[in-house]
Amino acid sequence: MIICPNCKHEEYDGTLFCSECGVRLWQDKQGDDTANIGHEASSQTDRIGIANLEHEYPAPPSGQIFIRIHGVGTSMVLTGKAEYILGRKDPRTSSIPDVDFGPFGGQQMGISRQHARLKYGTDGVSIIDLSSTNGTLVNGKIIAPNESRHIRNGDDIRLGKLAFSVYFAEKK
Amino acid sequence: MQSLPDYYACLNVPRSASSDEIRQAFRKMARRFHPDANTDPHAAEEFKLISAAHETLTDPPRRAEYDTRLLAFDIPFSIEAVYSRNSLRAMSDPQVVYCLLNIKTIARAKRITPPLNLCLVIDRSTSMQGARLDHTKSAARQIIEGLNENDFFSIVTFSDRAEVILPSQSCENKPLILSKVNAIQASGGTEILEGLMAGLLELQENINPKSINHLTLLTDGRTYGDEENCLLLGTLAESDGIVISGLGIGDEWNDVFLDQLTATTGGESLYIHSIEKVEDLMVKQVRGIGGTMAQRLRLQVTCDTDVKLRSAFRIYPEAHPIAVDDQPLRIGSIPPIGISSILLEFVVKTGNDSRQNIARVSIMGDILNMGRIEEKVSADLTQPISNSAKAEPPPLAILQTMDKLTLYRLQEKAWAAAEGGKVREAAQHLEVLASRLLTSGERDLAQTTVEAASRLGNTHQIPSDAKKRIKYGTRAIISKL
Repeated sequence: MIICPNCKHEEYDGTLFCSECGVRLWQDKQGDDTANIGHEASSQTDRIGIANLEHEYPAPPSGQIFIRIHGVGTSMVLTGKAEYILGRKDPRTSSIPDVDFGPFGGQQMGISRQHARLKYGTDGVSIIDLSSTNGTLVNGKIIAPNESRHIRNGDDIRLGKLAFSVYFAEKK
Repeated sequence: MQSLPDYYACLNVPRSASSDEIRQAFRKMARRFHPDANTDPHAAEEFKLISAAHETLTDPPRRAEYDTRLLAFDIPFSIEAVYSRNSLRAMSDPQVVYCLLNIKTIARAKRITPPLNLCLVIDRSTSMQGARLDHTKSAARQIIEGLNENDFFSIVTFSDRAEVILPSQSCENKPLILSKVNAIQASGGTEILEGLMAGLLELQENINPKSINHLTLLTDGRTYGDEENCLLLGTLAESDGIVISGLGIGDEWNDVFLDQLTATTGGESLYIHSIEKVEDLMVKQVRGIGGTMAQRLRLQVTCDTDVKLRSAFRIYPEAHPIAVDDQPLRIGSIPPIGISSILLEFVVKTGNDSRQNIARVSIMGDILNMGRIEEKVSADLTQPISNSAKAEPPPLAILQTMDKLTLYRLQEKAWAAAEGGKVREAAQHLEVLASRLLTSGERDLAQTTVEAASRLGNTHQIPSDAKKRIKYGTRAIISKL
């Protein structure tokens, strides 16, 4: 049996998408520690699937952030908070980040348990790297640990080897 | 030419196999399909076939005669299977394997274009008055322009009763046919049964198994109380080799009913969401029928022991779900492009062998471009069993198909929840769907879905116009190549 990481629905082994909430269930087998993916690896993003990155996406309603993980087009909506911790769930300390990339191969992609913080403030959206093992990149450029960096609608973010795009309504 | 079963494929042996190898293969297949061993209702049929194969191929003179016939016979179409995984795991729990069946007609230099025997059944109820009927008449005129002289054509209109506007006839006198179309006027109710019955009778006038016998129904309303009888007519049409397609205009018509009616015959239902699209969709639908390579395809899935077919979905052309409880599955036709794709979802419990047989699939149907009817081709679905826990990534074709299919299933979930009174849950499903549509670049449909979620939340009523747009919109995404 597989348990859906999003809605806890039980599915048979081999199921690709949760029949209840539609989340992608296929993933690599993973261990526990953040894999050190090295520098060479982190300069390359694995992109499979149908992501059309040149496409301009419309901004979601004000206050919401859409995250689209590059790959098979899985997306999430963040709403209701001013700050979101991005990382992966640690089965030992049971600390759960706001956005858990574990189900998307987070461990193998080199995502730390507390990797970065996404902040939706009055002056827009910013991202802060929380001294992660493999670093955070904004549009391909690495940002310094604990530095807050403003991002714009449609920017590409990479945590370790996992890349995603962020969409939100920019203040005029 | 008479259809010829491929006995070698039945027993899964090469054509050069010795008598001993054939006997051995027969024993193996008998263990798979003997009705005592396999509870699938169609196992007995399969067993009969392998027995016949065994009998013929182990008798040298009969085998020689069969081989001569087989050599002269070309296989009319091929079946290709893409699996979601490259091996099953050895485990006692059930597991899922998805299989994308691509059915391809064999490309040939000489092609026959079969004649069309078409009936347009047009709703002329009061609600069709004005733009709807004007666009429909203009679509009918364009369809008529495109017909060949040897095609048979008829028009039936219906409101409270049906009228045969144009009895079934060949298309030599197009000005006459066009004048009949121009005279159609709107008034009255929507009695689909009346229209359907009259339309089928017209088709019967010139029915021919080697023609494309097709009824296209266009309606903007709901028929009351005669749905059951309509479905019964659908079954009769199917047994006569007639395919029914349905086009719905506006928001009033019953999509569930039209889906059911067309599915019994292997046809499809389409949604015309704005009247400007009537010509486009109607003409495209009829042109599509004209170039059909194969029609009335039926898929027989005979599962092995401990295997269950959980769901089936037609992916291409015109995606729609296929009910699996009524075998053989009606999977429609192969369009001019020469390929049709079906996704099958199996739940499997693995046994002790190193390979797991999943099912034998047989596809039966009329191959129009070769002028052959009632053909049958079979293939075995099997997977190796591995002890390693390491899973290979699923093939892209399967991932993309399942990703798009998940969109369709999310909206099905949402409407089912809404009908059960779970408005909050339904709205949540729609919100998830909206964000996924947005990231797939389906901006308009995402917008419609967001609005539908908030309308549902506010009014506790299913917005029927949005429901149809989302349902047919997500279907269209699946069959996009």
